[in-house]
Amino acid sequence: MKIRVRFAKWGMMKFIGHLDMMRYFQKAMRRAEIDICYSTGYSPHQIMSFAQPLGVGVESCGEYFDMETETLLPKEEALNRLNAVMAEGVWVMDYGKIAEDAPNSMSAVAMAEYEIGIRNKAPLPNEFDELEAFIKNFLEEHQEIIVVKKTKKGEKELDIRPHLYLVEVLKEPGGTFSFPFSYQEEEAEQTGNTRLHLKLAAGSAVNIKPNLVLEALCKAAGETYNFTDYAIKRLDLYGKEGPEEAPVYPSLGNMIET
Amino acid sequence: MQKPALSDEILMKIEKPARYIGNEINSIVKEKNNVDICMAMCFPDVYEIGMSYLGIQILYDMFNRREDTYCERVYSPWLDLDQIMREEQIPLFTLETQQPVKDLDFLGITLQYEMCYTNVLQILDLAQIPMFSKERTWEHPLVMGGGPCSYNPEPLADFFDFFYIGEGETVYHEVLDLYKEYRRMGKSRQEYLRAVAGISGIYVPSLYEVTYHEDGTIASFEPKYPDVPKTVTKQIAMDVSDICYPEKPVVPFIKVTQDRVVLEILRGCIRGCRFCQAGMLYRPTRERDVEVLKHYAKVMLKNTGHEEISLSSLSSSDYTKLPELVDFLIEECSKQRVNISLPSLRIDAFSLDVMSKVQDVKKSSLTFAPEAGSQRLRDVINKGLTEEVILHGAGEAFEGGWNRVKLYFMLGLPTETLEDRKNIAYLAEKIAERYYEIPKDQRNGKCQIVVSTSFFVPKPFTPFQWVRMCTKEEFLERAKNVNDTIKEQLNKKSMKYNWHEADVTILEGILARGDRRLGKVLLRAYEKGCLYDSWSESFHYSLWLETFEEMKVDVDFYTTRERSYEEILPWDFIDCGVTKEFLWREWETAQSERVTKNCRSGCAGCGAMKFGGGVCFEDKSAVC
Repeated sequence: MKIRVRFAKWGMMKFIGHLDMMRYFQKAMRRAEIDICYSTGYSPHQIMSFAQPLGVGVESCGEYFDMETETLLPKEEALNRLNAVMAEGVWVMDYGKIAEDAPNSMSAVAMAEYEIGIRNKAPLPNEFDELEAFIKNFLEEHQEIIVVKKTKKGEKELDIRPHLYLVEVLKEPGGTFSFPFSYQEEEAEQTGNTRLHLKLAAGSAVNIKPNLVLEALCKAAGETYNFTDYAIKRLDLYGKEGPEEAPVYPSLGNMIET
Repeated sequence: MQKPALSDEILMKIEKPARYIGNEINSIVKEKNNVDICMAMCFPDVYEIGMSYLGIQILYDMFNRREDTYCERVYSPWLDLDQIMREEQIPLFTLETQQPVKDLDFLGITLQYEMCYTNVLQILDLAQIPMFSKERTWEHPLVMGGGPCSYNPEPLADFFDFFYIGEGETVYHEVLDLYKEYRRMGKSRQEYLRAVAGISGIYVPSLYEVTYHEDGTIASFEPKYPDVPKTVTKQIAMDVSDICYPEKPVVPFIKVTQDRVVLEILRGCIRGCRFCQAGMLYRPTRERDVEVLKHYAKVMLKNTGHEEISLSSLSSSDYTKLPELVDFLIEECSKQRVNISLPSLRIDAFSLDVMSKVQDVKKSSLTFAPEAGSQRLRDVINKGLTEEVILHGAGEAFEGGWNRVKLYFMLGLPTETLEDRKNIAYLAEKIAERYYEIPKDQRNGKCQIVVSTSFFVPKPFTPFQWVRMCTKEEFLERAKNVNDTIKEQLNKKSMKYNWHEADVTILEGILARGDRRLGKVLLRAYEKGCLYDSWSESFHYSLWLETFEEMKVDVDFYTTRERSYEEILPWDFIDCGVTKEFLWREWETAQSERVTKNCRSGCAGCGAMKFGGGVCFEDKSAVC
């Protein structure tokens, strides 16, 4: 049975890196007694693959992994069992079967959606009108956005403009997952309600991290970029379908059968 | 969720921020304002080491079962964070509530090895707790020590308010109850320390006066007041099946050294190796009921989700119900593909059979710890392992498909000669030859024999507590002897030789048998920057040498000096069950190259029988 799981991660859990999250979920499957399938051989491992690594320090309500299980649990029971064994700051949002021939989440990812709160101490404005004007101006002035991207082989220059599918400013946080109230309150205190809303190319071909956009914005404003000035949250991950000239980007969660 | 004590800026800057944020699965959440006693247990080393230690998991669970107590955890900040905390004056904090350690009622520090002593000072320093016990008031936590090194706590005497000698499951509740009572009654810290010294097993160093002879040896070691006991008796749990054990151990987010369920199957060891401190300290041997262990194995695997379970003991093969337990584990673990790890097993037909069931023969290696190269020296140290047994075990293993062997030895043992050292290489050669007796088409390529030697450090409460330890030069010369002889062997290409660092061994030797005059030396070394001495990358022997010179420490006094039977040793005030007479008798037997039977084959009258249980009262006819 091919199962897809969607989860959220926030608060202190943002400091747990990708590999440790994988280990975390492997142990969680045992605690929740999910009958996950194992590979064969002397050191069998769980058949589980994550969609897209999330950087340390970034929160999310759109993380996915796929796994093979022996049987299909009713969604509600699976969610209850898993959420009973989660650490504070991780929440399993969705669980269900996907089509046997569906591409796995790792290869399916084509776009990631982010929402960024700008902390009061940051050099960029976090008042809605001011930020919107700044972004509008920035996009008009930059038909090309050349950034230096660090790769394994060294550094290379890249124009990220074609890979920005959406850049807009929101008056208040969107997203479908409601984070705990105390957490939201604290966040609002640090960042206000204005959010920078981004949809960026993601996946194995081109992967644009939100900090590249923030770096470019800071550079345009003549300021230095500092990661901890921003509260970055990934809202969702999307696949890509349809013709190349008019693609559509369905959420990876859409493939989960209800 | 607790607000972290460290800012996002710091957490993003340091290595492995997960070391400092707590929130792990099964960590205990309580409202700290709703309890009477806030305390923390500390392992003074980095998180990944500290979290691998079973003792704190046991005590953490035990203390938190008390409704009136909240026990949290603390580990040493790694060097990167250490520097930031100093620069920014951030007080050391607990993992669970992220509150300053200095606000607690108790801080318990486990002392597992001598090389963590500077880390103890770091903990106090970063916590902003006065270093010396005498400078603390009710404004500060009571700092208590425990663990194997507390059997000679003297080098740390100035820094601790008290030490707990023995197993934590016994009198800690009395210690806490007395605290509540004394605080409620408005008593002073001094009054509390005086009273807590009356609890059996508690040693309050400030209540004892030590005087010295001109030659530096101890002239007298006496309580300052008549109501303070002259001898402190080790506390142990006699029914180890019935004591509390964590059903929900804390599961770290990051990979730690022991990332598995640990099942303690027995305490103590029947073997009586004369160099081994643990083998003497934890007598008598006490086994845990196999049904109890099966229950814990199941529950702990379910509650942690770990993919491995390991048995813990000083000698797993001596657990009488081992076959039954292992069969159960193999059955139980196969369901969820849990690995079984079986350390400290004697290599014989049974263990080889078990190992071939639970691990990949091609990837695993066999471990033997003959400790000495010749039969003569093995008799001196009472290591009841013969060459015949080793060659037989290795032979069976080679026939079964294994081709890697690890051999552990010690260098610098009492009475050791060049011939004994050469025998290390000869033994490795014989094992290799045994391997190549197998026809070429039936064996699995070349064999690999890894010989490792550590340097012998005489430890308190062993028959070798009086002996001379080697100098650094002697140690290195001895390692060279082994290295040279290995190079002369026919099958040298199948052998690899590793030896331990000699510098750090000397320091361990000084501290292991040190006295309370070393306290100021430790502090000076720490001030000079010594920290994480057990980590080779941060061990600076030159700083220690500088300190010894500055503080006029005679290193030879502590290391190479042979003690007499009459000398008052710094740890003589502790009664660990095993008597000084027995240890001396064993030292004499060692010198005459005779072995002493293990506890099951015949009682040697060590003294531990006075605790009234364990192997001393087993029905000898019922077991081999």
